Amino acid sequence: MQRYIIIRLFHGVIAFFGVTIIVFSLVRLTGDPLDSLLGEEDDEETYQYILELWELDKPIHTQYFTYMGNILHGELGPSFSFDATAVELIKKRMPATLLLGGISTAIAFPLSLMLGVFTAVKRDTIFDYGGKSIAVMGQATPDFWIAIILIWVFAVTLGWLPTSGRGGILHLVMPVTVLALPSAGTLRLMRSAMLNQLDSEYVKLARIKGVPEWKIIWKHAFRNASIVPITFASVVISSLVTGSIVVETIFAWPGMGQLAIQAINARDYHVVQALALMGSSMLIIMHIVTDIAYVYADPRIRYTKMQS
Amino acid sequence: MAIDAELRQENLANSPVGKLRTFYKKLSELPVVWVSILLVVLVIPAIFAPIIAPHDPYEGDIANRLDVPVWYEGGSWDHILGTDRQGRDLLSRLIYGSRIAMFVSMTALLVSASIGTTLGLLSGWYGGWIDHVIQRLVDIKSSIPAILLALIFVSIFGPSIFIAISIIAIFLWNRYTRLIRAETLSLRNQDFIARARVNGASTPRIILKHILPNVGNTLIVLATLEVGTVIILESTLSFLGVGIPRPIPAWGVMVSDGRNYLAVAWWIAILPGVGIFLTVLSLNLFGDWLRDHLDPKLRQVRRS
Repeated sequence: MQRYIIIRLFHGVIAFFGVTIIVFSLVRLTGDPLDSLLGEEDDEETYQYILELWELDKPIHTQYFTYMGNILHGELGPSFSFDATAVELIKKRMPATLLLGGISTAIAFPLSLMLGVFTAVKRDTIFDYGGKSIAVMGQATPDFWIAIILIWVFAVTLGWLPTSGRGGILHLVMPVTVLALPSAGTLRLMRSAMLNQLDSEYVKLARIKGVPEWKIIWKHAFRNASIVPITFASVVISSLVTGSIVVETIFAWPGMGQLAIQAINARDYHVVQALALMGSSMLIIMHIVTDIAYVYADPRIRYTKMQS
Repeated sequence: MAIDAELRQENLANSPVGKLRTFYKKLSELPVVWVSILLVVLVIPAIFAPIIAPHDPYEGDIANRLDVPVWYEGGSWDHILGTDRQGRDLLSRLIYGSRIAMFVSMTALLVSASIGTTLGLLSGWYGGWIDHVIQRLVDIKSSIPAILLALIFVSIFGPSIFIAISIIAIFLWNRYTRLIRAETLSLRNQDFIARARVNGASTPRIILKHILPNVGNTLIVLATLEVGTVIILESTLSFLGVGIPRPIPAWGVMVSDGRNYLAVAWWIAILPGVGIFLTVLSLNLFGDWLRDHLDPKLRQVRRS
């Protein structure tokens, strides 16, 4: 077990180095890095500062060590379009994004688990087919288009909700809905996990013994299908990164996602880089955590993972 | 137990839900619907765009800005779906948009499938350190969300069709690798491979002539199911301004262009989305059908 965790952590570190090497070399191996690292109307002073910060006049491997050192010290360079460093900007924007992501996860997580159980129990009924049709259609619909339709219907035509910005609870309704939608896919995962459990021998035995149905569903089947919430976590984290960029751009929500698009429009490389490194580290940590959680939750996985 | 199941089936077949289900089953057994939607929305407009499109998709007519579609009062048959804020004909842009969608998805698919399959074959056949290195590459790839990768690329190179295709191709190869690796692993130890080797076939020959044809079906099914993902990803990137650059009429770009005109001209933003939705929906359902029919086990049953 310990060996598995150590190996997994080691793989995580390799992945992090891989990501930094990609980000590092993309800028440096394509012509003059100062072109990308500097804004358009930067003066001699900034030029010197950037040159020294990343030690661009040294050989490439020294540059990489300086680069890694800077990253590990939380020094990710200055922003060109905002009067702050990249890290300061991210710190300022983070609460808004966390608020949106937190609320939508808090709603989507229990809801999709419950609906998954519900459609499994009501298998082959109109609810089940309804759920399936919605899932199939949802897969074919881009998030940004759903957001546009919501704005068109509820803000522009009906006038019930504000189009964008931050304010009261009404401002949260549409962004949270759009952000929560991709995680609805988990209800299909939950459904099939539940169906597997409900078809198994021990559930049949429990039924013969006369255990009440609600107890079979929640005490027996649900607990054994609970590996799904772990999968849910890793799916949700990566869809939240993409989702918050889309949602924050459309609804003018002042978080990190909006910052990413503002930075790209201003060609603000340092901010983009900082956001990319942060998003990637988050994903790496999340993958490690879910992998280890799997192993704890399911002894069978533990066995096969140990073998390899 | 068997009788029980039969009874259940019979009861189901007579209930309204059961009828709905048999209808649904029949519908999904007929890919005609999905294939024809695909032809009408994607393939035919993409190939014959210059012939079908009534106007130039780039040339705007400032006198006819934000014209309404033909079914509204004041609409004309000249601009069937109206015009955008620069007076460009919406229908023509939608038609050329399908060309962009098809070109980008086909190219990106070809590149990512080739990279993914090659790595999967190598990883499954050789194992050992090659496998380890390739698995770490997969790790690294899955640690960078597509959008963030796109942001980095665009902040350095600026947006272009080439960059968009590269990002999508880099982002989607790992699924091929995983599946092809697993299949290669199980094929590697089969008798016919051993015999080929006894007959003196070289390793490249075995991989190309014996392994690759055997993973062909998996490859086709996976590729079909991936086209939808490619189109959604491309349109999302384009919508955010890090995919296909303006003024190229990509569907995602068009939705973004129409965003601020929802109150006066909803069709500019909504209709391109309908194009994306219909294309991806029919592609996914066609892919499902293909998977059911190209399943290697099914094929063996039919042969014997």
